[in-house]
Amino acid sequence: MKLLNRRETLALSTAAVSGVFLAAPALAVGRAKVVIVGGGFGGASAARTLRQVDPDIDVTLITEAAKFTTCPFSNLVIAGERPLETITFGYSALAAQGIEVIIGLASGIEPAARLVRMQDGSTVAYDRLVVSPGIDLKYDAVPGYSKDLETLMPHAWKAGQQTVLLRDQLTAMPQGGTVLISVPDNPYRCPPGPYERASLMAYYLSRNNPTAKIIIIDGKDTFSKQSLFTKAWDTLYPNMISFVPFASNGGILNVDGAQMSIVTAFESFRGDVINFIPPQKAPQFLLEAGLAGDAEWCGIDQATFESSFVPGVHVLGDAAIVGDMPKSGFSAAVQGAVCAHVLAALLRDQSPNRGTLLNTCYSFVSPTYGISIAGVYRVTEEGRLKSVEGAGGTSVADAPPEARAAEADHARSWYDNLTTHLFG
Amino acid sequence: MQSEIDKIRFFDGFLCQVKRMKTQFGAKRMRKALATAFLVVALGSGSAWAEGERITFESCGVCHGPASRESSIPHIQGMPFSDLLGLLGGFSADTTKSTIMHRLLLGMPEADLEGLARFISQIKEPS
Repeated sequence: MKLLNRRETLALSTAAVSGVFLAAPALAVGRAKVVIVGGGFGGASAARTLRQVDPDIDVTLITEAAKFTTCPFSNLVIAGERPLETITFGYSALAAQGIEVIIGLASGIEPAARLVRMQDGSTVAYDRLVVSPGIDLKYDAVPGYSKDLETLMPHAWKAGQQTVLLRDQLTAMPQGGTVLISVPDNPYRCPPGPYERASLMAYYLSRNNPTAKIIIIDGKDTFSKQSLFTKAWDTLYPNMISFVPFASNGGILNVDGAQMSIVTAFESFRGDVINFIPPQKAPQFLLEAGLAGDAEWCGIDQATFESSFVPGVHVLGDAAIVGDMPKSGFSAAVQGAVCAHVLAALLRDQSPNRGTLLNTCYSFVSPTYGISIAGVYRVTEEGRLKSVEGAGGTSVADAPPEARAAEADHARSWYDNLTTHLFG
Repeated sequence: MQSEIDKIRFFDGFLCQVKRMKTQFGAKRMRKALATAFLVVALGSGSAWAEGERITFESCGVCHGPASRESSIPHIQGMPFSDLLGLLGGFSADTTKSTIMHRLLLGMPEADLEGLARFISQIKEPS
């Protein structure tokens, strides 16, 4: 069966001057279909916003699991401050809104036929496709490291069982033990995430294992909100966290599971717990579909999210290069919503409008000490989604404790509001 | 609504006085803004401008939820236009300190602030 696309449908509707077609929008043949691959912040946001903006568009969400565990707030789970269930969400609310939810693995895209190929051999047809499937971990990018080591040295960079594993290893660590956190070079999902993780691990250890140490072995020399983090560490967790920048480690030469060690060019580190966060890329099936060209992240038209390489396919969230926006859950949710407006316009043969896009990355240094970095983004005349000069930036350096506590409260409110908005 | 204004005033423990801002931004500017708002309403909600603000508000809505949701972040949907314009103007001019909002609105053109305030003031939530 050939599905009419919206353009053809509109042409038909216009031809039928009587408006009979328009009066019967429920006719299956008259409805455009948007398929969304990815059930995280970006995908869920695109699906729910589309439903709200234009109920005449059929929306199908393909997601790899029946439940989604968020990376935001997973560091609180690792610190024992929150059970995993409180950061895990299902899709029943989306289904109740008339969004078709398919639980399964998308394995390929056939743009000429406008089909998503599923791993089980079935196909899903679309008029326009949105892909927001997050990241793949590059298991083969570091000597000695492989997928086999992810249980021994959990990355916990995709939340769920990995999160629980790291939490349990932290809890079981001997008194005075050492945690190693290996952080890749940019770009990777959630730039401040590793440092929030170090902070909340230190929060847990300072209460339960006060002589323990945390060593961050970094693939870069500076990091997001660095001065805010390090100042807070000096106050809250003195001498517990060491940061070893790339300039001081020279890069990782080998990861040794048997020795529980990370060997860098300048020094060898032994850990009782190793949180190895590997380098990342856009998911393999996107690369195979040609959505990244010769690169590892998907290039897009930054006003419409449409792929630079494959027409009719819109890429957003962590997998895409979305101008100056960071790879964050907040960003993906905003991009999903904006993309929904773009699609509704394109499917009506209208040109999409533009607005301002915002991002705020909150980090907990402790459960009552929050800091943030904010960004404001607009599409320039050249079509680049650029940071607005003078706007955005980090929390002030010398804020009083009440301001840090307020930001921690705002972070919780942000999370509760967004997850309820998307999944509740 | 008063409690929400109190919450904004308390926003992050910094001083944020809605009344002071109303004075600061003056009756003249307020009248001008109101005139613009009426013009936009007269043009109808289908104008490109309104749609742009709807898109911008998608970012606001990530944090600012409906009134029914318990939150430390103020509920702003449906607040009076003049209160909203005073708040947004204060953040944009960096005369109102907060943890986040002044960073997000710093230097936003006045026309955009007015359009956004108007859009937010017109949001109706199911009661």
